[in-house]
Amino acid sequence: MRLWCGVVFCIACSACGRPDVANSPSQRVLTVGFPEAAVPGTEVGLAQLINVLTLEGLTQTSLSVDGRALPRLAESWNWEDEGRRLRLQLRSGVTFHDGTAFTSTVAAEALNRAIARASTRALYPSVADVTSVRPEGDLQLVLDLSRPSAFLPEDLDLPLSIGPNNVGTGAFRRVARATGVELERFDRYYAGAPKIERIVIRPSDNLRTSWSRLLRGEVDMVTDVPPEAVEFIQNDDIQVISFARSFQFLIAFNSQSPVFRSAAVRRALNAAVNREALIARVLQGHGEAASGPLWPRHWAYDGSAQPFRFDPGGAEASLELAGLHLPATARGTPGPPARLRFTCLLPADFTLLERIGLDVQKQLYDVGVDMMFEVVPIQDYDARIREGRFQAVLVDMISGPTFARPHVFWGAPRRDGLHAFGYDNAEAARLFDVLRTSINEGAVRSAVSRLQRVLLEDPPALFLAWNQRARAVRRHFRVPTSDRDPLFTIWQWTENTDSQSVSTK
Amino acid sequence: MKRISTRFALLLAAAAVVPLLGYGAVSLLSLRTGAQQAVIDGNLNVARQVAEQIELYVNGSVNILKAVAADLQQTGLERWQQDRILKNFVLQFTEFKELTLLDENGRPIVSSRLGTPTVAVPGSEGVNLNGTLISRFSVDDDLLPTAVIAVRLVDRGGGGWLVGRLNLEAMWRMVDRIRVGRNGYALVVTNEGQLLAHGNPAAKSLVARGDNLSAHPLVSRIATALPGQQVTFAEYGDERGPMVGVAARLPSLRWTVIVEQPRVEAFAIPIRVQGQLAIAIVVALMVMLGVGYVWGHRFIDPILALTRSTRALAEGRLDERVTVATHDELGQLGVSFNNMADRLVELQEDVRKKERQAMFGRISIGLVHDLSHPIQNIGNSCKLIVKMFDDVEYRENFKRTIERELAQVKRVLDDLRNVARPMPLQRFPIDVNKGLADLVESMQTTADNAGLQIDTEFVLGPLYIEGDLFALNRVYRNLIMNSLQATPPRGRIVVRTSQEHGQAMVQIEDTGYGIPKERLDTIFEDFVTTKRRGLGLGLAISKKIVEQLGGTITVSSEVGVGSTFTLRFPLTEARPSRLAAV
Repeated sequence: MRLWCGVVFCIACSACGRPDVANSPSQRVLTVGFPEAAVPGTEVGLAQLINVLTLEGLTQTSLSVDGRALPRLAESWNWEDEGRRLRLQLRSGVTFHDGTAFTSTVAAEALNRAIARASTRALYPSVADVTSVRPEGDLQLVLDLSRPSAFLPEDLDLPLSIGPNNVGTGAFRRVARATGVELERFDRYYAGAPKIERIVIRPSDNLRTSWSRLLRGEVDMVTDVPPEAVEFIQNDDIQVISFARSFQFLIAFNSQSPVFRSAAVRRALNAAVNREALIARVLQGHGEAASGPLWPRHWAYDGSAQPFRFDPGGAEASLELAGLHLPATARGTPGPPARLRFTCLLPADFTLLERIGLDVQKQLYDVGVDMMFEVVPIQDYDARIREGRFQAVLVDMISGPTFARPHVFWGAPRRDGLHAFGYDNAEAARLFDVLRTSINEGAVRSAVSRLQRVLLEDPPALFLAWNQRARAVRRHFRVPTSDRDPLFTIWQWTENTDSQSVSTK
Repeated sequence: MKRISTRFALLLAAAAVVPLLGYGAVSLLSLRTGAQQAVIDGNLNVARQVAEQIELYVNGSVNILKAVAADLQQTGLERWQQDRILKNFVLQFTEFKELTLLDENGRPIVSSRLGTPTVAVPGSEGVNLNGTLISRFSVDDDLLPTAVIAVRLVDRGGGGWLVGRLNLEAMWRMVDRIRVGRNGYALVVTNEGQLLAHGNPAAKSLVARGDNLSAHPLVSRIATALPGQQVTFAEYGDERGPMVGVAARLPSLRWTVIVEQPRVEAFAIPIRVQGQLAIAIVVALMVMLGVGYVWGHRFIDPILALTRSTRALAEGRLDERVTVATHDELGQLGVSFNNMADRLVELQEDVRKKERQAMFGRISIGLVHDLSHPIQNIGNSCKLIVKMFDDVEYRENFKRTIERELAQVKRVLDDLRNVARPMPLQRFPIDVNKGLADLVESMQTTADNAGLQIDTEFVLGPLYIEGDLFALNRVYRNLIMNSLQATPPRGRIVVRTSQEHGQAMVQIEDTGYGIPKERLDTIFEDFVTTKRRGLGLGLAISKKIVEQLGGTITVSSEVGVGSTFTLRFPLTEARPSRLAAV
């Protein structure tokens, strides 16, 4: 039910806060406010934030820039039996928060438990290929597969936990509190105890409240800084850390809808949008033009593939060729004269998506396409997408850094879950399947290059921009320099002894 | 004592520095007033420019809204066309985040929003700008400032309102760009004290939490100003210390732009000049004091030299002279001083010469007196001894006379020799009582001849002192002889001994004529005597002997009553060797 909310509004969360210690700031306590209104009626974001800080997977892709899985609870892995078996060497000295030693037996149980979850099977499709998980010795895990499954190492970053309380191995562990959410550092963390002793998560009604709290010195971190507000928030006391996010804004077409059956029409729509202008006007430059669902920083990405070129004239011509002529009048219709008219779903109360929609609407209008919007509550939005009851949908969607993500949305056959758009291109499906099954780097590069071109020829969506996110953190904390989300490096944050506190009174 | 040089330095300093201080104070006051006014004018100019820009921005935005309203009021526009107009305007003019057309009842007709419109016609809490209603300021979900503006559509059938959400981000940017000095910022507040923008990044939270600045000193003064009174400047303190604030009003919006700056920074130049002037005054004062001190010394040095020379003359150093290098009155005083010193030397020589002559005369007379009688007796005896040589008795008598007179001559000569060179003393334990008893007995005859009674009052037992018997006998004899000579017939002389505080005390007391008080202090000096004849060496020699033996001699006397000489000697534990052997 809440799956789409999780996908759209993400694995990288927001928020910050410091409740009762507001007037006695300590570098040992990180207070994270959490604007719950960002995901109205859901608690997906908060749960994900807690999971990020308390749970770990065998591998890690969150900090990966090029899409390769990074070691985490597993130090290394290798393929056997022509990709039908994956042997993982587990890290020694790892302990769960309840003191349970992380052995191959415990790891196997935890992994089986994680694989069994429905949400896991939707977000991490390759785990469905796992037929058995066997411990070997104390620190080896052997995964037998029904078929070669190249995405598996990346998908093994799914969080592992044990027991009814979902005890993990992360750098922080949750402590019971009557109100609010509080985490304390796990002193036996295998990579060393974090410098931050406690993390207090302080929910707020909206982002504005979190920001006010940050400026008042009541919280140390605000996870989501709107592009327009970056320069107003940044000061001598607060640093704004921007990072590229493997999410993209796109208008996904429902392939079942007759108006989008034609690949030429979809190409024309992609050519009608000036992405650079959109990024400058709406995202204040905090974004990167997108021409497809594949993460452009992936190690196998083919940079020579030509992206969509802004060509409104060509788009109009293509639409004409497709038989979509611009009528002289809008007789009998509620809108302007249009060669093509469709309705795009939009979640309510997401102003950034609304501004993007408005800008794209105007650009499409200029080529005679009337994109109307249907703004619905987030719950309806989620249900409508899953059920396929839409023509198009404007979405902020995860699409990297591994290819497993776009595969979920565009490469798998339509089913319950995330492949909701019904994209159906046999060659794309074949190439996605190659990516899913091939463990040969050369074959992967070749397939990616061809897939990029197929998706340009037959785009499943109007790809707009890879987005960036900014998090505001008090300069009391020294955040390791990285191109990725600083939320994942909180355990490495240290006290910044150079910073001078700035009075906000 | 305050030295003249110090007084002179102070006088010079006062004479030079008081005008300097006065000049400095006037200059400082003028400079400070002028510089402060310049700073205030400069900051006020900045505030006014910001106010003008904000007013231009808001007025421009209102004009845009009116233009859109005019477009919407064109007849025959379909709803989708109105919708398109609003959306196009919002895309084209980023000043507006939303434009919504409301009917007379406030229900939305068309909107640039894809979702539900968020604006409504501002109520009475806003301001009316030439028929355009402007709401209070607020921060939207994107953390940016907005205000709602509404224009009434008078030409449209059915009336209605065009309402826009004005993006005041530009105002923030304008305010953010204002930086006066290093720490001077601009801020914008409404008439009600609501803070709209603050240029200090650290103070943005005040905007975010909707702080009311009614208590701000400048805002409150503006709010309480009388009609017609314009408050543009104030000095006040906040957590950053003393501040200087200027205010420019936006009457149409009822907003105020304030530019405030720490006082120490705003008035840095006058403060710096003030410090420099203070340093200059202190330096000038020190220089004046130094110059005054040097000049004072130059002036006072001759006087000091005269003082030193005068003191030297008083101490008897008559060869001291003043070096006179000037030709002024002090120089003349120095010359006179030197002449006076020369004259003093001459006078001293005269006095000495006369003293020598007097001394020589007195010695000559004494010698004549002391020697002429024995010599005459010796001469007479010699003549008679020749005539009466055969008479044995006479011859023996003359012989004794000659020997006695020769002894007298010898004593006189010994006295003279002892004055020049004290005799060496042989010290050994002696009994004072015994020596005195023997001597008194030997002089009893002389006393009887003079018709005087001489008594002894000795302490019981011996009184041993370390002494020279011969020398002490001479002292006793001198004192007793003086008493005999100074006491008229039927007088009494008492020789007394006693023991007091570990000392042996000898007193020779007579009932003689006594010594005048004014002469008591000098009777122990050489060649001083109360007698009409004699050298006056007896008491001087006695005093020297007593002091050589570690004793003291004093005298008390009353004219017509008598005199008492008192001698004190330290007692000794030693005994004569003969007694010790016993």
